[in-house]
Amino acid sequence: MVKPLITLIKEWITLIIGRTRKYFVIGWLALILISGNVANAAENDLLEAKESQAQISGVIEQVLPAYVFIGGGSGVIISEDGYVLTNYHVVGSSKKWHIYDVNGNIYTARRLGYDSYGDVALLKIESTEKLPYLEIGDSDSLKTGQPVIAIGNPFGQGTSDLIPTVNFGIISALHRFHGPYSDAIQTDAPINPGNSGGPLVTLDGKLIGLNGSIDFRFEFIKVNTGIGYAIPVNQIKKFLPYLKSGGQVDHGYIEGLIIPFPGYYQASAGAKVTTVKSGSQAAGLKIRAGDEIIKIDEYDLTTANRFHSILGTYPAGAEVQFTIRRQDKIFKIKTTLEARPAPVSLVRGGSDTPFLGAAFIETEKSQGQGVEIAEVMPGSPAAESDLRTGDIMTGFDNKKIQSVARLLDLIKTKKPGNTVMIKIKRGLAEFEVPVTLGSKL
Amino acid sequence: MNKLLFWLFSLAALWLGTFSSSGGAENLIIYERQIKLIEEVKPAIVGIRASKDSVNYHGTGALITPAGQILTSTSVVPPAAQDIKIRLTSGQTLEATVVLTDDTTESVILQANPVVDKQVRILEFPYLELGNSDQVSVGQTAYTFGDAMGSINADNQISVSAGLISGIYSLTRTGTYQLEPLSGRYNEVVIETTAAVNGGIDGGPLIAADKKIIGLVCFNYSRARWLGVAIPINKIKSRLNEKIKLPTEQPDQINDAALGFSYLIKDKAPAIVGIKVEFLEKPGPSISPVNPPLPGRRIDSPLPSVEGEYKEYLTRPDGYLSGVLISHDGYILTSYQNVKGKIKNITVSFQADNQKQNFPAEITGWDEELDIALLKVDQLPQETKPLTFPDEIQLKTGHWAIVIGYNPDQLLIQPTVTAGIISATERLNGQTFQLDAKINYGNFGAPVFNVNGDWLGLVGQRGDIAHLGLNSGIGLALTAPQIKKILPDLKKGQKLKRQPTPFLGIQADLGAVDIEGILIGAVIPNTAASRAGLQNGDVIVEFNKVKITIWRSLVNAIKETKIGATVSLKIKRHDKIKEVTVLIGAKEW
Repeated sequence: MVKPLITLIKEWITLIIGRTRKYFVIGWLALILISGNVANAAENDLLEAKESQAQISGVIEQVLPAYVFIGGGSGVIISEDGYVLTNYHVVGSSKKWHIYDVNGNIYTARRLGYDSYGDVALLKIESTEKLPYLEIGDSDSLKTGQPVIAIGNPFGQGTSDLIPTVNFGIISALHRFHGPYSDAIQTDAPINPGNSGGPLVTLDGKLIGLNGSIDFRFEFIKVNTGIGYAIPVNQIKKFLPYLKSGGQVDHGYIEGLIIPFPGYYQASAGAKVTTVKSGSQAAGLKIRAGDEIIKIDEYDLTTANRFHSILGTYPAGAEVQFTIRRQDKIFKIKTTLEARPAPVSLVRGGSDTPFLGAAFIETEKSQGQGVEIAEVMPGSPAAESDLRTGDIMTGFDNKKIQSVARLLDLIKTKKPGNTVMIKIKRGLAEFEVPVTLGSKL
Repeated sequence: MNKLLFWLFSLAALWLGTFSSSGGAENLIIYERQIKLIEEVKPAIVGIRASKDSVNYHGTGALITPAGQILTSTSVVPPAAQDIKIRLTSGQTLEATVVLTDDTTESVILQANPVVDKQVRILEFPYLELGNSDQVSVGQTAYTFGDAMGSINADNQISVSAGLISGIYSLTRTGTYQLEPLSGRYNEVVIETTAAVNGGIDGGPLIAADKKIIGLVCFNYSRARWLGVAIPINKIKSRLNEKIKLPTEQPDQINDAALGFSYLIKDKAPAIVGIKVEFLEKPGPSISPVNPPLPGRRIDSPLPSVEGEYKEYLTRPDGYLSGVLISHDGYILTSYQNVKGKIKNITVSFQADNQKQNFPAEITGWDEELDIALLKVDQLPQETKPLTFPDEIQLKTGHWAIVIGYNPDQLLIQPTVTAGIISATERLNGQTFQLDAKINYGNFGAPVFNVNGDWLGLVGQRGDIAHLGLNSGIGLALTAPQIKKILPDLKKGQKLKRQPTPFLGIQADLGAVDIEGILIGAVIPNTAASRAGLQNGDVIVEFNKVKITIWRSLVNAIKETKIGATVSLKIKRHDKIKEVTVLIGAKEW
């Protein structure tokens, strides 16, 4: 195939230039063709390394000005008029903050709305100047293997000099159901405690996630072993209008609709409704037991896990469309989501009331097994024993617990200083942990 | 005129077509290739569940034949396991039976039952080819795929991580942590990777850039390195029998889908040395833990005492650790933690001309704060290639940083390689920089290079390891110019000139305006603050009768205090005001 092609090219060149110059041009063309492909493997590796690092360092330079240090964690400016995103647990109940950027500027910011369950908070900087910010990307268009960078302040390394830490990795998985991060982005960029509230950025400089939380390989030390989770921006986008209004923003759900969260060993064949409580919102929407939800807005779903995972990205008050299959018919309904019941906190009474330091909630995930931990107070006995939001507590003091009410009753029988064995289900793991109950000082 | 334009246009098109080999601004071609590779591998990755004696197991497997045979490990499907279920990316669940179990290589071959729900029959399965593990080189890209923390079994998501083939060594020769065996424990030569290995990834494949399986990921690890390892596929290939119908191998594909740093090894490896210490009295765990081991024990965990493992994590392992030759007259640099303690003798091991040569060494000088030690050997091999000090270095956040360390296995020559980006160009007053390459006992004291092979610095165990952790992605390297500056003092064995400054020892969580005072985020161990009993969560409101509201005022107040002076602090702890007496210590820079 090559010979006739060369002849053809020769003819073509001859036609255009004339005989005498033909060989010069052919030689030049040949040189170009050869040199373009001659790079051997080592040179290729070096070239690719240089290209990739140029791109990575370029993006970092571009996005760093939008990064801010907040307390013991991080945040990111998302608009030129000063809206700042961070994790709820970074700001907690403090409403006013001094936040620092990498150039040494100190801004005063108010905490506006917050999603304490989903761990997101929105702050607003009071500034008259236009601020550098990150554009929000589209987390639904992410691909596994895509490179990402995380900016944060792990272990407070950067606090005194205002130099944050930048880490590089890839998107490891999407749509992970990781406790309250129901639709999490998983990354192997090495994030650690202190990265919380910081941005996860694609190489086009757009914000696609808010770090985060980590799982780790060795039980005895909380450092990154390649699994980090981030809240996807498409979830945050849904919450933003409500966060801007201020106050607690609840997660949404359809009141009275029961789609059991299957155990991890059951293959779930579709998001099938088992119960519709009479007189409930679900009943009013004419949903029936046996119906299967196959779509939420534009998101297809084929399992009950995915139903809960997608639903968990909506705030209360959002208008959502559900596509339902009933025998052979497919129909759609639109509804406004109600607020999920709030987690129950252990009432902190006097010095003789045992104090655990966690808030509990009954969810579809915990149904039939125990109660889900919705919040863990830093420094509390629950935190000391490494209980985490999203854990399902199945046993307390060697007794099975099926409801929050039962758990509260059991706790009341104990005294501050008692050590109790707590049984936890976390993902596929089941284990027991001793917890020493404290007391409210 | 038309003919000329046509000629110019054609030549320009040809020229551009030849030279434009990289993609657009957003996705470089290496990343596009990576995304494509992952998409093509995923359909052949499965999640596996099994049970035995009411204990539930989960993990990963890889389809290796179109007829549905699956490679996994005995930690996922132990001998006599029942109720084996396979989960495909499609979400379908299949049953499977064991075809072959080989204890020596911890490998299991399953046969998936191709009938789904008694209705659909899968005619042909996607599969991965087995590669040649004898031909892998350290520094090439590798990927792990699987059921990390239940991602497949729980969420139908295959977890993927990218890393390097970072080392090849025998576990017995680098010190293996002895786990209670589920069945036999493979302790021979393994392929180490910096790609993430966590619970559930075991049984899964280690994939090279040509999409072939080069290893079976297992749960064992080296006590020097603490990174994920895989059993080389060639070992497993030799144990397969006629029951396993491997498809005919396709011709080798070009292995250029991803980034690799193998090209640096040939030039730099000769400068890397191994350092072995015989102690008169070995120091115990070197750092007092900030975070004590987490209580509790997993019911289904095969691991023994958490505290035992934690103590080991904090203890410098025996064997050969890393150092680097910096001059023809035998000066060697390493991490001070590698040579700390009451020493009987030190042996330095060189690799030249494919053989190892050992020579005795003496410590000339050291600095604990900067975690560096200078050793000297009086004898060197004939051919050596010491590193040369650069006059200055260019550090840029986001640029690659490659750590080349000594292979802790004395019988294998290839060094270890980990790589990451520069995370911050300045830490510790500009004396160090931060990188996210994986750093562990095996490469403390090893040199860091940029992509051109320029020497940037030396990694060390600076900071509290119990805090920063091994392989956490937080590493610190002392810069080469800084080392050059202190080299004369190290050679003289003199204590480095330091300017001691008064030091309290806390890290603050700054910013909350409604918190009046300085909120302590962390108390640094072995400082004035820790000795005085200050705790995380305390808020400092007064320093020697001076009201403290912002960080600057605390910093200034400390600066004005003399080292060794006693100060009275007022702190708020759980809503109560307490008075604490602190003896101000010193920090030397």
